Amino acid sequence: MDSWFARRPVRDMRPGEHAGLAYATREERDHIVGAFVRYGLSAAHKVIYVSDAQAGELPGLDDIDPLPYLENGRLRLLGSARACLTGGVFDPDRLYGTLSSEITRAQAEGHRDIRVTLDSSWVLEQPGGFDRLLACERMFGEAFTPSTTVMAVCQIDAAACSREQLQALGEVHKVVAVPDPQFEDPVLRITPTFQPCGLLLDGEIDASRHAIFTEALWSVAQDEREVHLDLAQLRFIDLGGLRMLAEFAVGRAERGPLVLDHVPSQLRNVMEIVGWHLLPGLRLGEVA
Amino acid sequence: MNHEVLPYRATRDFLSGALPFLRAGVRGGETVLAATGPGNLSLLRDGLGGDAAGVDFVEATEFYQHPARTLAKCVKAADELARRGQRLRLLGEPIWCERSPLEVAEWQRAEAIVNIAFAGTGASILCPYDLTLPLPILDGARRTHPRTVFGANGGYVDPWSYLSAFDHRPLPPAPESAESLRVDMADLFWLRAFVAEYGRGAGLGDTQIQGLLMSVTEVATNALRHGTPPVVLRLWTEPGDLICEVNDGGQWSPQPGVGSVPPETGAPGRFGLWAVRLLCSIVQVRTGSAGTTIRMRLPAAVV
Repeated sequence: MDSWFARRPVRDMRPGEHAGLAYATREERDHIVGAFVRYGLSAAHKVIYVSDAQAGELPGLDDIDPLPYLENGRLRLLGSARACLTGGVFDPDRLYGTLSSEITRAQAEGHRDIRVTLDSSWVLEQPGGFDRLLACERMFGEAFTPSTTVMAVCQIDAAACSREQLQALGEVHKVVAVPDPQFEDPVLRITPTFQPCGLLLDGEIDASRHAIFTEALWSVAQDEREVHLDLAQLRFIDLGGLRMLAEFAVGRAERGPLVLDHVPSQLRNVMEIVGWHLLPGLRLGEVA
Repeated sequence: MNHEVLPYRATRDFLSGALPFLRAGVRGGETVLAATGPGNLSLLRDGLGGDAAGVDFVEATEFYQHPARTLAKCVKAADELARRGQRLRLLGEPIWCERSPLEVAEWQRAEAIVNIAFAGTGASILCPYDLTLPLPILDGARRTHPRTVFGANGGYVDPWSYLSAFDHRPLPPAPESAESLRVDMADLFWLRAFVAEYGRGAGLGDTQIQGLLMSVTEVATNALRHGTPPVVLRLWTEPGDLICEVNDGGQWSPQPGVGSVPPETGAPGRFGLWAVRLLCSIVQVRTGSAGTTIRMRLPAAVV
């Protein structure tokens, strides 16, 4: 989705936000939706989850066992047939009705924070599915946005949509759900990226954050593809940090290259002066 | 590896040493480079005749811009050639006039480092020295070249000892007016903010500031890690230069010429102080009773 929509790390979502998540990979979806659901369960919110998965199969919940939450009603898991199908066909009014009554019920139970999520990629496979989905999203938009209790993440497989469809879906969502940083302090923020697989580095890296940086690199080391680091917002990296990048690149050379995207020009110049032969294995990707 | 000095007074002497050296390289299929002033370049071109086509001629002003960077480039070329079973042959006549005493010292150090850095590359380096140059420069040439074109050189000094002698020359103290900052946290974020601001005020460009910040961070990190508190950063300007030094109370840098030699290539390894030398124009390392000081200079546009 395009960048003029507010990008909201999932932990920062607030009631009244109706977020779109056009995911590029399953890992991205599981990472973001998992966090959205986890936060809700651990903060005693009500979570309404439209999915045909079994509770035990819900992605990204890490060490949270959903079963006790199902039993005490904090987690409502609604199968798609019951939630939104009429005669096997996706029915926007039915979904809207289902969610409205679930929300009303949750409010009646005294819940002041209600989280809703569903993956509607399968709707696109039905004839006329996209138009009905869009109609449904518009209804949600009108219903959720003024709400002081409800927040939603609407998931869609980006690869199943055309550019125009993504654009249209983007317009009915006020915000875009993005991954939380895996590390953040006032000087450095590290956020996972999924397409391409890698990390987004924002801030400054020096010896005081080498251990954190190594840990972050390890979190993507096992991936069998290219690993990309987006350095557009990296304002400083020390020589030790550059050496760690080179060591990392050489260490995983057999799996795939380490690509540095959006390297700020002054950093690129400095790397040029230090000499690429001292920084083996690093490849420059997209230019800043 | 061969590193010879060619002392000359007359053109005839210059050519009688330089031409056979270059010809042997051309005819032996080596990669041959000649870096000297325009006058000597044209003498060489004429003298070589048909062999001139096998020589890469470079103006000394272009070749000798920055001691560490020139070394880095040549050593890398020699290493790559050696890996392919080939050799570099270089006739190099550095520029000595119009250099400040500080620059002269850096280029003299470079002559000594050549003996360490090119070892194992099989490179052949011939350095012409005009005998009308000031005596200290000729004396440096005598100490930094294992051989002269006439044979072994009795005046040659072990390069590490030579560098050590340089690195024990006292530095003039920082001026009273220098900005001074105590460095006591591993988090150097604020230190960099301070240095960047000062650098901008002195007219450094973005890349220079980035290089300065990397250098300061590297040196301050070393001082915090290996030195003895207090660690103090000082910044000041002199005509044409920004100077930044980090001092600590320890004597943690006992090795002479530390970081002066290009590191091995091909595998990532430690290159901190070497990179600092590439990023700054002149780096001086001093260890003694006053602790350890690393003084870095960058050319500043507005002072």
